[in-house]
Amino acid sequence: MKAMSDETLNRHLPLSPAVFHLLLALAPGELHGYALMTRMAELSEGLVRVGPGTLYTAIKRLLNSGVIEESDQRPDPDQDDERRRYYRLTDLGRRLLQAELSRYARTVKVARRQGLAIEV
Amino acid sequence: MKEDPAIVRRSIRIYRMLLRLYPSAHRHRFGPEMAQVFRDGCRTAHHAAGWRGVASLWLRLVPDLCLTAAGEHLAVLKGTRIMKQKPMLIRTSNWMLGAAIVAGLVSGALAQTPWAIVLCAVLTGLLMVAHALTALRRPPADWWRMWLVALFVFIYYGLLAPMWAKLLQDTGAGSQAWMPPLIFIPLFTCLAVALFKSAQFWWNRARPSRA
Repeated sequence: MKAMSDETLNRHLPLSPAVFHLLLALAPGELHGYALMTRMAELSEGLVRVGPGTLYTAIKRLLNSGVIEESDQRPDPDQDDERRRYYRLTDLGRRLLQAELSRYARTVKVARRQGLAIEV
Repeated sequence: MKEDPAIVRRSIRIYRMLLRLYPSAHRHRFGPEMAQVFRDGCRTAHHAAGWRGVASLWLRLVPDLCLTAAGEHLAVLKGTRIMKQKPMLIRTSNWMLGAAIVAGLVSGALAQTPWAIVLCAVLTGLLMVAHALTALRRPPADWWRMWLVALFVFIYYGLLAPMWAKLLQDTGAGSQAWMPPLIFIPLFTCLAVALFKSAQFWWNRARPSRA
Protein backbone atom coordinates (compact mmCIF):
# COMPACT_ATOMS: atom_id res chain seq x y z
CA MET A 1 0.00 0.00 0.00
CA LYS A 2 2.86 2.34 0.92
CA ALA A 3 4.70 1.47 -2.31
CA MET A 4 1.54 2.29 -4.21
CA SER A 5 1.24 5.66 -2.48
CA ASP A 6 4.88 6.49 -3.21
CA GLU A 7 4.28 5.62 -6.81
CA THR A 8 1.31 8.00 -6.84
CA LEU A 9 3.47 10.73 -5.32
CA ASN A 10 6.27 10.26 -7.82
CA ARG A 11 3.81 10.42 -10.67
CA HIS A 12 2.98 14.01 -9.68
CA LEU A 13 6.58 15.18 -9.22
CA PRO A 14 8.12 17.58 -10.07
CA LEU A 15 5.27 20.04 -9.56
CA SER A 16 4.75 23.01 -11.84
CA PRO A 17 5.34 26.41 -10.15
CA ALA A 18 1.57 27.11 -10.18
CA VAL A 19 0.65 23.79 -8.56
CA PHE A 20 3.51 24.06 -6.05
CA HIS A 21 2.40 27.51 -4.92
CA LEU A 22 -1.24 26.41 -4.87
CA LEU A 23 -0.42 23.56 -2.49
CA LEU A 24 1.83 25.85 -0.44
CA ALA A 25 -1.00 28.39 -0.13
CA LEU A 26 -3.38 25.68 1.10
CA ALA A 27 -0.91 24.29 3.65
CA PRO A 28 -2.09 26.41 6.63
CA GLY A 29 -5.79 25.82 5.94
CA GLU A 30 -8.67 26.01 3.52
CA LEU A 31 -9.11 28.91 1.09
CA HIS A 32 -11.55 29.93 -1.62
CA GLY A 33 -10.54 30.64 -5.23
CA TYR A 34 -9.75 34.35 -5.05
CA ALA A 35 -7.93 34.09 -1.71
CA LEU A 36 -5.94 31.20 -3.16
CA MET A 37 -4.97 33.27 -6.20
CA THR A 38 -3.80 36.27 -4.17
CA ARG A 39 -1.99 34.06 -1.64
CA MET A 40 -0.12 32.33 -4.46
CA ALA A 41 1.02 35.71 -5.79
CA GLU A 42 2.11 36.77 -2.29
CA LEU A 43 4.02 33.56 -1.55
CA SER A 44 5.88 33.74 -4.85
CA GLU A 45 6.57 37.48 -4.38
CA GLY A 46 4.58 38.23 -7.50
CA LEU A 47 6.31 35.66 -9.69
CA VAL A 48 3.36 33.27 -9.93
CA ARG A 49 0.29 35.25 -10.93
CA VAL A 50 -2.34 32.97 -12.37
CA GLY A 51 -5.69 33.84 -13.88
CA PRO A 52 -8.98 32.10 -13.07
CA GLY A 53 -8.51 29.79 -16.10
CA THR A 54 -5.16 28.41 -14.97
CA LEU A 55 -6.30 28.31 -11.34
CA TYR A 56 -9.42 26.24 -11.98
CA THR A 57 -7.69 23.96 -14.50
CA ALA A 58 -5.16 23.16 -11.77
CA ILE A 59 -7.88 22.81 -9.12
CA LYS A 60 -9.83 20.42 -11.35
CA ARG A 61 -6.76 18.26 -11.96
CA LEU A 62 -5.83 18.22 -8.26
CA LEU A 63 -9.40 17.40 -7.21
CA ASN A 64 -9.49 14.50 -9.69
CA SER A 65 -6.22 13.10 -8.41
CA GLY A 66 -7.22 13.43 -4.76
CA VAL A 67 -4.52 15.97 -3.88
CA ILE A 68 -7.02 18.57 -2.69
CA GLU A 69 -10.69 18.36 -1.72
CA GLU A 70 -13.60 20.68 -1.39
CA SER A 71 -14.45 21.67 2.14
CA ASP A 72 -18.00 21.06 3.35
CA GLN A 73 -17.96 24.22 5.41
CA ARG A 74 -19.61 27.30 4.01
CA PRO A 75 -18.73 30.83 5.20
CA ASP A 76 -21.05 32.84 7.37
CA PRO A 77 -23.40 34.66 4.93
CA ASP A 78 -22.85 37.89 6.86
CA GLN A 79 -19.08 37.63 6.52
CA ASP A 80 -18.68 36.32 2.98
CA ASP A 81 -20.50 35.12 -0.14
CA GLU A 82 -21.98 31.77 0.86
CA ARG A 83 -21.75 30.46 -2.72
CA ARG A 84 -17.97 30.41 -2.46
CA ARG A 85 -16.34 26.99 -2.43
CA TYR A 86 -13.39 26.36 -0.15
CA TYR A 87 -10.57 23.94 -0.90
CA ARG A 88 -8.11 22.18 1.39
CA LEU A 89 -5.20 19.75 1.13
CA THR A 90 -5.84 16.03 1.54
CA ASP A 91 -3.37 13.76 3.28
CA LEU A 92 -1.95 12.86 -0.13
CA GLY A 93 -1.63 16.56 -0.98
CA ARG A 94 0.26 17.26 2.23
CA ARG A 95 2.67 14.40 1.56
CA LEU A 96 3.08 15.56 -2.03
CA LEU A 97 4.03 19.03 -0.86
CA GLN A 98 6.49 17.54 1.64
CA ALA A 99 8.03 15.40 -1.11
CA GLU A 100 8.44 18.41 -3.40
CA LEU A 101 9.99 20.48 -0.60
CA SER A 102 12.43 17.65 0.15
CA ARG A 103 13.31 17.53 -3.54
CA TYR A 104 14.02 21.29 -3.47
CA ALA A 105 16.13 20.85 -0.32
CA ARG A 106 18.15 18.09 -2.00
CA THR A 107 18.64 20.30 -5.07
CA VAL A 108 19.91 23.16 -2.90
CA LYS A 109 22.32 20.77 -1.17
CA VAL A 110 23.64 19.57 -4.54
CA ALA A 111 24.01 23.16 -5.76
CA ARG A 112 26.00 24.04 -2.61
CA ARG A 113 28.27 21.06 -3.19
CA GLN A 114 28.85 22.43 -6.69
CA GLY A 115 30.18 25.61 -5.10
CA LEU A 116 27.14 27.81 -5.69
CA ALA A 117 26.35 30.32 -2.96
CA ILE A 118 22.64 30.20 -2.19
CA GLU A 119 20.94 32.54 0.22
CA VAL A 120 17.92 31.06 1.99
CA MET B 1 -23.75 47.89 -0.67
CA LYS B 2 -22.06 50.25 -3.11
CA GLU B 3 -22.68 49.46 -6.76
CA ASP B 4 -19.74 48.51 -9.00
CA PRO B 5 -18.49 51.09 -11.53
CA ALA B 6 -19.72 50.62 -15.11
CA ILE B 7 -16.37 49.35 -16.39
CA VAL B 8 -16.32 46.61 -13.73
CA ARG B 9 -19.94 45.62 -14.43
CA ARG B 10 -19.29 45.47 -18.16
CA SER B 11 -16.08 43.49 -17.68
CA ILE B 12 -17.87 40.94 -15.52
CA ARG B 13 -20.61 40.58 -18.13
CA ILE B 14 -18.04 40.07 -20.92
CA TYR B 15 -16.06 37.57 -18.85
CA ARG B 16 -19.24 35.56 -18.15
CA MET B 17 -19.89 35.47 -21.89
CA LEU B 18 -16.31 34.40 -22.62
CA LEU B 19 -16.69 31.47 -20.21
CA ARG B 20 -18.72 29.87 -23.00
CA LEU B 21 -15.37 29.11 -24.64
CA TYR B 22 -14.86 26.31 -22.11
CA PRO B 23 -16.36 22.84 -22.55
CA SER B 24 -19.81 22.68 -20.96
CA ALA B 25 -18.84 20.25 -18.16
CA HIS B 26 -15.98 22.50 -17.03
CA ARG B 27 -18.18 25.59 -17.32
CA HIS B 28 -20.99 24.09 -15.27
CA ARG B 29 -18.67 22.92 -12.53
CA PHE B 30 -16.29 25.89 -12.28
CA GLY B 31 -17.92 28.71 -14.30
CA PRO B 32 -19.67 30.46 -11.39
CA GLU B 33 -16.51 30.28 -9.25
CA MET B 34 -14.34 31.59 -12.09
CA ALA B 35 -16.74 34.49 -12.62
CA GLN B 36 -16.63 35.19 -8.89
CA VAL B 37 -12.82 35.17 -8.86
CA PHE B 38 -12.78 37.47 -11.88
CA ARG B 39 -15.27 39.81 -10.21
CA ASP B 40 -13.10 40.05 -7.08
CA GLY B 41 -9.97 40.60 -9.17
CA CYS B 42 -11.67 43.23 -11.28
CA ARG B 43 -12.91 45.16 -8.23
CA THR B 44 -9.44 45.07 -6.65
CA ALA B 45 -7.77 46.18 -9.91
CA HIS B 46 -10.24 49.05 -10.35
CA HIS B 47 -9.84 50.10 -6.73
CA ALA B 48 -6.04 50.15 -7.13
CA ALA B 49 -5.62 51.79 -10.55
CA GLY B 50 -9.01 52.65 -12.07
CA TRP B 51 -9.62 51.74 -15.72
CA ARG B 52 -5.88 51.16 -16.25
CA GLY B 53 -5.98 48.44 -13.61
CA VAL B 54 -8.95 46.78 -15.31
CA ALA B 55 -7.23 47.03 -18.70
CA SER B 56 -4.05 45.43 -17.37
CA LEU B 57 -6.16 42.65 -15.79
CA TRP B 58 -7.75 41.96 -19.17
CA LEU B 59 -4.33 41.89 -20.84
CA ARG B 60 -3.26 39.16 -18.42
CA LEU B 61 -6.52 37.25 -18.56
CA VAL B 62 -7.14 36.96 -22.30
CA PRO B 63 -4.16 34.64 -22.99
CA ASP B 64 -5.00 32.70 -19.79
CA LEU B 65 -8.58 32.23 -20.94
CA CYS B 66 -7.73 31.25 -24.53
CA LEU B 67 -4.98 28.81 -23.58
CA THR B 68 -6.86 27.08 -20.79
CA ALA B 69 -10.09 26.86 -22.83
CA ALA B 70 -8.16 25.26 -25.70
CA GLY B 71 -6.45 22.92 -23.22
CA GLU B 72 -9.78 21.87 -21.70
CA HIS B 73 -11.24 21.12 -25.14
CA LEU B 74 -8.15 19.09 -26.00
CA ALA B 75 -8.49 17.18 -22.74
CA VAL B 76 -12.12 16.40 -23.57
CA LEU B 77 -11.10 15.15 -27.03
CA LYS B 78 -8.27 13.04 -25.62
CA GLY B 79 -10.34 11.67 -22.79
CA THR B 80 -13.42 10.71 -24.71
CA ARG B 81 -13.95 11.02 -28.43
CA ILE B 82 -10.61 10.03 -29.90
CA MET B 83 -9.98 7.27 -27.38
CA LYS B 84 -13.43 5.80 -27.92
CA GLN B 85 -13.10 5.98 -31.68
CA LYS B 86 -9.68 4.34 -31.82
CA PRO B 87 -11.03 0.83 -32.56
CA MET B 88 -13.19 2.37 -35.28
CA LEU B 89 -10.13 4.09 -36.77
CA ILE B 90 -8.30 0.77 -36.82
CA ARG B 91 -11.28 -0.93 -38.45
CA THR B 92 -11.40 1.87 -41.02
CA SER B 93 -7.69 1.47 -41.76
CA ASN B 94 -8.25 -2.28 -42.32
CA TRP B 95 -11.04 -1.54 -44.78
CA MET B 96 -8.86 1.05 -46.51
CA LEU B 97 -6.09 -1.50 -46.86
CA GLY B 98 -8.52 -4.08 -48.26
CA ALA B 99 -9.90 -1.51 -50.73
CA ALA B 100 -6.36 -0.49 -51.76
CA ILE B 101 -5.43 -4.14 -52.41
CA VAL B 102 -8.50 -4.75 -54.59
CA ALA B 103 -8.12 -1.41 -56.40
CA GLY B 104 -4.41 -2.08 -56.96
CA LEU B 105 -5.01 -5.55 -58.40
CA VAL B 106 -7.88 -4.50 -60.67
CA SER B 107 -6.21 -1.35 -62.00
CA GLY B 108 -2.88 -3.16 -62.40
CA ALA B 109 -4.51 -5.96 -64.40
CA LEU B 110 -6.44 -3.49 -66.57
CA ALA B 111 -3.43 -1.25 -67.32
CA GLN B 112 -2.91 -1.25 -71.07
CA THR B 113 -0.70 1.76 -71.76
CA PRO B 114 2.86 2.40 -70.52
CA TRP B 115 1.68 5.44 -68.49
CA ALA B 116 -1.09 3.44 -66.78
CA ILE B 117 1.38 0.69 -65.95
CA VAL B 118 3.88 3.12 -64.40
CA LEU B 119 1.08 4.86 -62.50
CA CYS B 120 -0.23 1.57 -61.06
CA ALA B 121 3.23 0.36 -60.13
CA VAL B 122 4.21 3.66 -58.48
CA LEU B 123 0.89 4.21 -56.65
CA THR B 124 0.63 0.69 -55.30
CA GLY B 125 4.29 0.77 -54.28
CA LEU B 126 3.90 4.09 -52.46
CA LEU B 127 0.73 2.92 -50.74
CA MET B 128 2.36 -0.25 -49.51
CA VAL B 129 5.51 1.57 -48.33
CA ALA B 130 3.31 4.08 -46.47
CA HIS B 131 1.28 1.26 -44.96
CA ALA B 132 4.45 -0.56 -43.91
CA LEU B 133 5.86 2.55 -42.25
CA THR B 134 2.63 3.33 -40.36
CA ALA B 135 2.52 -0.32 -39.27
CA LEU B 136 5.67 0.37 -37.26
CA ARG B 137 3.43 2.19 -34.77
CA ARG B 138 0.83 -0.56 -34.56
CA PRO B 139 0.82 -3.04 -31.66
CA PRO B 140 3.37 -5.88 -32.09
CA ALA B 141 0.47 -8.38 -31.99
CA ASP B 142 -0.41 -7.17 -35.49
CA TRP B 143 2.79 -8.73 -36.90
CA TRP B 144 0.83 -11.09 -39.15
CA ARG B 145 -0.75 -8.16 -40.98
CA MET B 146 2.60 -7.11 -42.41
CA TRP B 147 3.29 -10.63 -43.67
CA LEU B 148 -0.08 -10.51 -45.48
CA VAL B 149 0.79 -7.14 -47.00
CA ALA B 150 4.23 -8.42 -48.04
CA LEU B 151 2.53 -11.48 -49.59
CA PHE B 152 0.14 -9.19 -51.46
CA VAL B 153 3.04 -7.08 -52.81
CA PHE B 154 4.85 -10.25 -53.88
CA ILE B 155 1.77 -11.62 -55.68
CA TYR B 156 0.88 -8.21 -57.15
CA TYR B 157 4.24 -7.62 -58.78
CA GLY B 158 4.91 -11.33 -59.30
CA LEU B 159 1.75 -11.69 -61.41
CA LEU B 160 1.69 -8.32 -63.08
CA ALA B 161 5.35 -7.53 -63.72
CA PRO B 162 5.86 -10.25 -66.41
CA MET B 163 2.59 -9.20 -68.05
CA TRP B 164 3.60 -5.53 -67.97
CA ALA B 165 7.07 -6.34 -69.33
CA LYS B 166 5.54 -8.23 -72.26
CA LEU B 167 3.05 -5.45 -72.94
CA LEU B 168 5.76 -2.80 -72.89
CA GLN B 169 7.92 -4.91 -75.23
CA ASP B 170 5.00 -5.44 -77.64
CA THR B 171 4.14 -1.75 -77.72
CA GLY B 172 7.80 -0.77 -78.04
CA ALA B 173 7.50 1.61 -75.09
CA GLY B 174 11.25 1.68 -74.51
CA SER B 175 13.42 0.78 -71.54
CA GLN B 176 12.01 -1.24 -68.67
CA ALA B 177 14.92 -0.33 -66.39
CA TRP B 178 12.56 1.48 -63.98
CA MET B 179 10.67 -1.71 -63.17
CA PRO B 180 13.04 -3.57 -60.79
CA PRO B 181 13.45 -0.69 -58.26
CA LEU B 182 9.73 0.07 -58.39
CA ILE B 183 8.94 -3.54 -57.64
CA PHE B 184 11.64 -4.38 -55.12
CA ILE B 185 11.55 -1.24 -52.97
CA PRO B 186 7.96 -1.83 -51.71
CA LEU B 187 8.54 -5.57 -51.45
CA PHE B 188 11.72 -5.22 -49.37
CA THR B 189 10.18 -2.50 -47.19
CA CYS B 190 7.15 -4.68 -46.39
CA LEU B 191 9.36 -7.71 -45.72
CA ALA B 192 11.66 -5.70 -43.43
CA VAL B 193 8.72 -4.29 -41.44
CA ALA B 194 7.10 -7.75 -41.24
CA LEU B 195 10.35 -9.19 -39.87
CA PHE B 196 10.74 -6.31 -37.41
CA LYS B 197 7.15 -6.58 -36.09
CA SER B 198 7.47 -10.36 -35.73
CA ALA B 199 10.75 -10.00 -33.81
CA GLN B 200 9.15 -7.34 -31.59
CA PHE B 201 6.17 -9.60 -30.92
CA TRP B 202 8.25 -12.68 -30.03
CA TRP B 203 10.65 -10.62 -27.92
CA ASN B 204 7.76 -9.17 -25.90
CA ARG B 205 6.20 -12.61 -25.51
CA ALA B 206 9.45 -14.11 -24.28
CA ARG B 207 9.90 -11.25 -21.74
CA PRO B 208 6.41 -10.27 -20.63
CA SER B 209 7.70 -7.82 -18.00
CA ARG B 210 9.09 -5.65 -20.80
CA ALA B 211 5.90 -5.69 -22.84
